[in-house]
Amino acid sequence: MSHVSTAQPDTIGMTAEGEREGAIVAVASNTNRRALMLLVVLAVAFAFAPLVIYPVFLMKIMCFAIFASSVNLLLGHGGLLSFGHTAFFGLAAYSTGYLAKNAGLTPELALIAGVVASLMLGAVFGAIAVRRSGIYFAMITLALAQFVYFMAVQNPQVTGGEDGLQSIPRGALFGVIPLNGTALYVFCLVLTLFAVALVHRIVTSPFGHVLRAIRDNRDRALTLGYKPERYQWIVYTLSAGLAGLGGGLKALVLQVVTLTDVHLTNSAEPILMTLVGGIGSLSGPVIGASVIVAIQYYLSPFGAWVTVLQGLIFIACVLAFKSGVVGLLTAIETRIRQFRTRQGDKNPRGRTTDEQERS
Amino acid sequence: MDRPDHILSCENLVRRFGGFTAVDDVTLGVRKGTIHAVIGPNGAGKTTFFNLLTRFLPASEGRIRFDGHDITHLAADRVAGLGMVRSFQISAIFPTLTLLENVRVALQRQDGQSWDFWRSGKRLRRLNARALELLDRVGLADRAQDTAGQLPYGRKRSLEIATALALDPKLLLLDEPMAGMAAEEIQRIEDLIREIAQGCTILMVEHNLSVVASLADEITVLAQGSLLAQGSYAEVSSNPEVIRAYIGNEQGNAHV
Ligand SMILES: Nc1ncnc2c1ncn2[C@@H]1O[C@H](COP(=O)(O)OP(=O)(O)OP(=O)(O)O)[C@@H](O)[C@H]1O
Ligand SMILES: [Mg+2]
Repeated sequence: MSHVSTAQPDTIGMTAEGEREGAIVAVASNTNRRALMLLVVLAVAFAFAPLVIYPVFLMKIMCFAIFASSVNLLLGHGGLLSFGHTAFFGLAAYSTGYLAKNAGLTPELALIAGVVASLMLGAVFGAIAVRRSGIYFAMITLALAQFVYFMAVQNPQVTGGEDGLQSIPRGALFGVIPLNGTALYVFCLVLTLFAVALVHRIVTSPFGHVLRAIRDNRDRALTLGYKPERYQWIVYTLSAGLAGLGGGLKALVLQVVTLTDVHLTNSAEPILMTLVGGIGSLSGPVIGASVIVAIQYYLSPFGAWVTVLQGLIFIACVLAFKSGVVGLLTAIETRIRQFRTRQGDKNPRGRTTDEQERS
Repeated sequence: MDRPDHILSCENLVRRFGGFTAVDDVTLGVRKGTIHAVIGPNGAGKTTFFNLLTRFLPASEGRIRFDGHDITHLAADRVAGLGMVRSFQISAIFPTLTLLENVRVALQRQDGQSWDFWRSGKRLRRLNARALELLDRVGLADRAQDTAGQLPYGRKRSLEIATALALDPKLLLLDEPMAGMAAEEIQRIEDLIREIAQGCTILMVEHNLSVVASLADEITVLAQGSLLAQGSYAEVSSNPEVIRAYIGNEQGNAHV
């Protein structure tokens, strides 16, 4: 016998232990399946999009999707708002760019070096920042990021100063596969999927459950014997590494790294993307990155109006669509399902899953 | 003061907030296996006292011993690890987690996998049976999949107790577990506490005196931070000072 259908939640309490557990697993995986389906749709869309859309533009979206995923991990699941993630993005971008250009490293090694640099910086910054919470945490991350920006300005022999690092070679993957055209695109797509999958893995892991508990109620987690700072430090470090992956990849894709990559405004963007896409959701950062990068790209002729538009979107998200595009899609899907149930079923007791998509 | 039959004891415990002394020189022992109630008028310092014992607040003066350890300077998470688990006056749950996850998060700590961010969450399913058992004990098994934030107030308290029980505590500190509950819920929690007390010591703050009368083996009365009286319900309730403190409070004037 297979497990109890989720359409009869009323029976959960009455069935035997084994079946009850079966029902629990079924409900959980049902939520998961919808999140995964959306991700698959997006992956397929990105796989075929270069046929009609400029590939470098799509790859830029993917770099920022990875960056936004790192913020989503920290903010959406850890409940920690960092204003300084540009430091990790920028550090990795400079490291990867510098090593690929001046040390002749193959792209994957340069990228790994960039990620490792971000992880290490994240571990140090995280250890300082998690000592405080709320607005103080945010302010510390901001100050530390400013410090990194200052270092980038002060060391033009490494960063290229105002000019930045130009014409970074993409090289050949493992020294064998030249990273251009299709190969580069596939490389980006695989890394983006990897990043999203990694966030999913982390937040659904045993660690992720504790992390959510700490976000929900720090004191309660403490009374259960958890040390909140340790968990927050780990998630901060992981998130920094992921931001680094986005930054390093950006250096290879666009072949330039400039001071804007470590500038504070670059910290706000992944936050905005996460909010627009749907905070705490699996695909939210990808959707958010697509929307924001598209706005910047297609509306760039309007100059400063882009910033105004972004601001308005930001306000709309905060006020009206708290769970972003993904939340909107979930709501629509629920409506459709309710409608169908009402139409087709004499016994309209189908589970109305109005829970948010939770990854 | 540190007697072997005391699971928890404190000596000359003091806590000041600026110039104000919220807990004033309290010396107390909680005997193993008993239900020990702390009562006192509003603002007597009961919650502050709990915060000191569980190391949520550092004491200004005094010593605390728990189960053979000096915990005066231990961190709060370590104290919990030793087996002293508390509930909060304002019910504390994890609102976005399901009921099952709420309890499982507590089970998980002893399971020793809480750091494994690379592992699949499916590993946690092994804990489902035990979590359901605990939810069943507080009458919440049929809502295991609901998000905890949706529960009515009284049910949240039950969930909080189930979560605390998951840690298999040696000493359970309950801060007004029945505040704001309907009569039939109070009865259920009362029965539950009596049942829990078979396996662990309980120290509880409670305003409902009939509950205290029927549950507590030992009662400590705090007033204005100081220990006013201690003993059985009969002893305490006939103590003229206690009566004065309570009546004084009812007239809206605790400073007799
Ligand atoms: N963090 C704090 N800072 C300053 N004063 C505090 C603090 N916490 C508690 N107090 C004061 O200490 C006194 C005791 O408070 P406490 O909460 O311990 O009382 P209580 O006995 O639990 O009261 P209740 O029955 O209302 O829960 C009160 O006068 C309160 O204002
Ligand atoms: Mg209190």
